[in-house]
Amino acid sequence: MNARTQVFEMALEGRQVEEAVSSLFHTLLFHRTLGKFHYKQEGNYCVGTVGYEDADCDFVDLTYVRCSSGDIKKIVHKEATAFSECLRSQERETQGQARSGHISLTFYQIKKARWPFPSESIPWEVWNLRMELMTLASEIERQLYREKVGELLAEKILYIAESMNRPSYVPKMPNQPELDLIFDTSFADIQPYLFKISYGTSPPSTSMGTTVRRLLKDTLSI
Amino acid sequence: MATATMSYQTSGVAPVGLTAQEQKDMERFGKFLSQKMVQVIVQSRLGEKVCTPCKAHPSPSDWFNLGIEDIPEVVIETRKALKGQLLTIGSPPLCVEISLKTVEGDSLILENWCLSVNETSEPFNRVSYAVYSRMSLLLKSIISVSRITPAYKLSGRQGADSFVLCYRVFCGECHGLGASTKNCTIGQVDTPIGLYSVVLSYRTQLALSPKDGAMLVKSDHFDQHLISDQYSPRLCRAADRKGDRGGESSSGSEPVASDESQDACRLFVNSPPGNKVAEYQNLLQQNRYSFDDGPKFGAFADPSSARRNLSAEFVLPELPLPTFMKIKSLKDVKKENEQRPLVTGGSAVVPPKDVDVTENTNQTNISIGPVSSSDEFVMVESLKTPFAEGDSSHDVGAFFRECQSAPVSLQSFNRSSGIATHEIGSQLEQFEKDLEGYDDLVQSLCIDSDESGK
Repeated sequence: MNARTQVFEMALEGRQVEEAVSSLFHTLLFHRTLGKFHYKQEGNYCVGTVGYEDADCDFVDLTYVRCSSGDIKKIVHKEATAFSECLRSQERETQGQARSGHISLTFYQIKKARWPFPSESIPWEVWNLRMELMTLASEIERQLYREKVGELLAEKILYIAESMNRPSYVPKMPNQPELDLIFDTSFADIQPYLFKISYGTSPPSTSMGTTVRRLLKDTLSI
Repeated sequence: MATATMSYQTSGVAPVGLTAQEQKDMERFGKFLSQKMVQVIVQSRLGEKVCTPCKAHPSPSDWFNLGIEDIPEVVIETRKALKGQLLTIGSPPLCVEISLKTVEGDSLILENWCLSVNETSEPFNRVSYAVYSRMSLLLKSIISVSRITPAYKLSGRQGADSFVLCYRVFCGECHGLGASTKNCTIGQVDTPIGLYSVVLSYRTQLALSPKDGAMLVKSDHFDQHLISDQYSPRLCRAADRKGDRGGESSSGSEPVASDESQDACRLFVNSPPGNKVAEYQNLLQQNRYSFDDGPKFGAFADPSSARRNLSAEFVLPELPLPTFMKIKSLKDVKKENEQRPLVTGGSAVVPPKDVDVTENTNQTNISIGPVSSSDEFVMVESLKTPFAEGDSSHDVGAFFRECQSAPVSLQSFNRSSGIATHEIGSQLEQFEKDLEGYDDLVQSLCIDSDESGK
């Protein structure tokens, strides 16, 4: 099965990276987070409540909505900050040359394999953000760009909302024994779909070796 | 009976068609989807940051597994708009209109959110958690998108001294927002009883421009008691808090007057053409100067001293000037005009055409302007020449009378051109005769300049 993939590209200042990543990833996670499941007898279950809150950006003219769970805020903040630092350190090392990187939010499900093969993570939705750092000369330019990036991110958020509501594949509700294969049950108050965040300072590689490795894995898992 | 705390079956055979209970559950889903949609939209325009907690165990009121608090007034307005009916296929959409209103009374519709129900493309055989979760997803999208429109930024800057945002909930077609509009479909949920769709239209240009269909309303257009902030989402929340602080249950607060949603409609909806003309006419009536009020004095002038300082010969009767002329209804004037033109002072006077006066038998129609009848012509000889002394035979008086009317013909055109024309003509003839001499002179000058150059 091929994962549904979406790529967003943008150029922005170093200090805007963390907020741009947070705004988009929080929007995605808000849509892909359910309340905590509580199973009852005879296979019935009830679902907890997902709270939300407004988050203002300092370096981007934007307010976005995120899940009000403290745990998920920490995870996204940690990854977004690390990615931002990684890009900006690259900027310092290359002394002003073109700096770019990518950060991905992947929703996956775990597929148990037959012995002796290990379980496998199969992505079903991938959101890639490719970012390029730029340097602005004056404060006026920074102010204008602050608004421009805000508009750009607003368009992305609208696109995310429209995309989420299209009929597309989402893992079906599991039974209680298989809950951990679809959802991340480590959170105390919410239950997002299994997800992972990864980043790098070079574009995602699509080398022959990676492709062959993936083909072999898929073949053996059948 | 379906409640917000849903229990779901994880497996089972799908029944064919909907049972009575499923039908009822589905209708409740649709009803609460409407209510929650209006809630999140209005709350996003309060100008305040929203923060609701995540709960591991749900509350009975947490519909769609989302922490959406309810503002009682918004619930009431939504119910009024729906009139106790459910949204069904073919029924008018449920709309939430967000508008901006300035302290001067100008109003501008910023955005429209519409929830409609259409024919389902794939009718389900069961009411499953999938439908409920998709409605929850739709609400999340509405919450996310509500922060990215221009109206959200405006909501954070509203205030009693500048502008406020107001909302209106109704079932029907939305008013157009003009050319600079963006339309987007937030999402759709296919259910056994119809396809629910949420569409957002919002202005991208916020300048007040009549050509975009913006509605500009005069500040005195409405009664003052209707210009209240009760429909500002901000004050809905403030009123709600006051009730909570006073120990009263917000859910038990009495609703506002039942007709106020209709009043909000009158405030922010473009009036039909007929009413618009009547309102404009009323506005003109109000602004017209009424001569019945008597003579007006300038600013800072003392009326009593003004009368005292005037010599007797300059004191005019205290009747205002227009009373020299008969004040008639427009109908009478039109009748007279049809019979014969009214002539005063050498020019025909017709009733002014730029004033539309409603032919209302209950009103006294007053035509403003020099309307008179020859039968009651008032002699103007009593009016004396300003700055003149004595009688009208004085030089100033004579000059004044001459200037009162335009001359019949300008005398200068009747005079012959005479001497001046004759002299010019003879000069021209002489110049033509001496033309050869002038050419020789020019050539000699040119030769002399060449020799001097060498």
